[in-house]
Amino acid sequence: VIADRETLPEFYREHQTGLVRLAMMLVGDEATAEDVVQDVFVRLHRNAPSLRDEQKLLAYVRASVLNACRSTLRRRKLVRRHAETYQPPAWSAESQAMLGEDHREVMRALHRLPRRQREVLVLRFYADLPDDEISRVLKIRPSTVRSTMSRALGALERELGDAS
Amino acid sequence: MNTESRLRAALKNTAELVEDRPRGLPVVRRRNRRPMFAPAWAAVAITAVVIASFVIRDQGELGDATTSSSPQAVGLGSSPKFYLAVYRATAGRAARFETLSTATGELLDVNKAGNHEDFIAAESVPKAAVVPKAGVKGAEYFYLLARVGAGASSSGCGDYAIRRLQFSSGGKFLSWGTTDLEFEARDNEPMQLATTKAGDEVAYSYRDCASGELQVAHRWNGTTTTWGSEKPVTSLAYTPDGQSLIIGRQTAYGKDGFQTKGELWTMKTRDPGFEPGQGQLLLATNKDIALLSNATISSDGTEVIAVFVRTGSFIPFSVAKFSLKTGKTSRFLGWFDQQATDLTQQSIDPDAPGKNVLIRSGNKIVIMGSGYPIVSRILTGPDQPIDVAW
Repeated sequence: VIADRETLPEFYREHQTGLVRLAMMLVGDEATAEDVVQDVFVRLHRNAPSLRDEQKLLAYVRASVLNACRSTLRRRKLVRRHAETYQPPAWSAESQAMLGEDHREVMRALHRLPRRQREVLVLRFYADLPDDEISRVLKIRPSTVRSTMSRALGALERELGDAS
Repeated sequence: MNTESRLRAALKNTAELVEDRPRGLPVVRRRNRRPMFAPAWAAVAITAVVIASFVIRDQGELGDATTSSSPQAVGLGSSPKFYLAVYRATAGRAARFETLSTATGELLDVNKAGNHEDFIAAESVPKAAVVPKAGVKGAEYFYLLARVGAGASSSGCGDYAIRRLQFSSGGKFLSWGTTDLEFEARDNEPMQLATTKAGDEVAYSYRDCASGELQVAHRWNGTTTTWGSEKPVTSLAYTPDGQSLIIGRQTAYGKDGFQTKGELWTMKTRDPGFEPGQGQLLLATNKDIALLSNATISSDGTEVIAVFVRTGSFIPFSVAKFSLKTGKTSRFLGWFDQQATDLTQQSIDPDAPGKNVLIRSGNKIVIMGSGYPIVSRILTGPDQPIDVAW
């Protein structure tokens, strides 16, 4: 089994930055992204899946990270009412992150899209995953990936068009 | 630039905001999470397990390296610049103490024992009130419990004394000093040493030569008061105000001979009517905490820092702060690999601000603290220090 206590450290070392970056795309700030990835690995450490293929494990972990990001965003909607813990996303106007204005605009538009569309775009255009890999991570059919991708790009284009 | 290209560039640029660096899972992430959403202590605890398993075990594979340290060691803030590691004499090798840089793990100085002395334990004296006349400005002081003289008596006893060590602020050994504290004790018994910040009061545990009883002694103002202890003393520490001793005792053994239960008592040193077991019980192990040892008290006097093992947990040795008020875990500091076969091979020492903890377990010295994953560790070669202090 690849995801046992002996092999997890190596796996974590190899993929942690990529996973934190993936989470960052969805939750908006590095600290929360690190939290998300940490929580995933904590759970993985407790209940390692019986997988012998590293790629399958990576897909499993990516899916877990996306799930954790969704939970975080749901939680944040409530917590944001108590603004002291709110951290602005890197693409927001209030963020000090070194992100160009065009990129901020694109990221803001991306985050106005429905959740699944946003995730499909991130997995394709950041993680460079093929359709079948995205379908495994999001647990949807490849055909749904393709249709969602098409709608998402159209919606993003409209958002950017409206923004400009 | 079309939408796809703009999106790809924006995602890439956003991703690069996250630096590609080794990031341990923080031992403690102190966020204002609302309790309704997460049992924060549990997440922190298990988080620490994961990072510790990543960091400590891997660093343990460095073979024969005598010292090594992690890059995260830099920036320990208010922790002391160096710490002391004490080694007992072994066959063909004299006892010694070493000073090592907190930030880098670099060996700063070594001093070997002479006259067949053996070194047992050390404690720092952060605000030394008793300093030699020729004391160096900015010097750091430690007390060292040493066995003096060669050989043992027919009853297996030896003479013990407490030395005062002076170091430069950079960790270079400067001079030996003496104290008036000497006593006789059974050899080869675990002994604990504690002192107040000013160094004007000293406590130690030992097995009495004449009676064979376990004793806790408190030396203050030229007078020594002793109390008997029916159970082995696993830790000694003064409260920050110096008014009380915190005494850790092991109370039961498992079938394998391993300590299974522990308890912490507080005893007013200015009120010597109490014996350990008759003072105030601060904390006793229960079914969740199967073992409690190496306890010491935080600098603000509100928490006890201790090594413990949870029953049925995959966490071998954990370090946590327990609230003196509630007895519950108030902060989980970290986890370390089970290098030692029992807790007598471990020691723990918090720095003066109480933020970081120095831990010796087996042949590793680890620094844990809030906000830092595993801040530093040292591999110290084939022999293991009996004690560490900073």
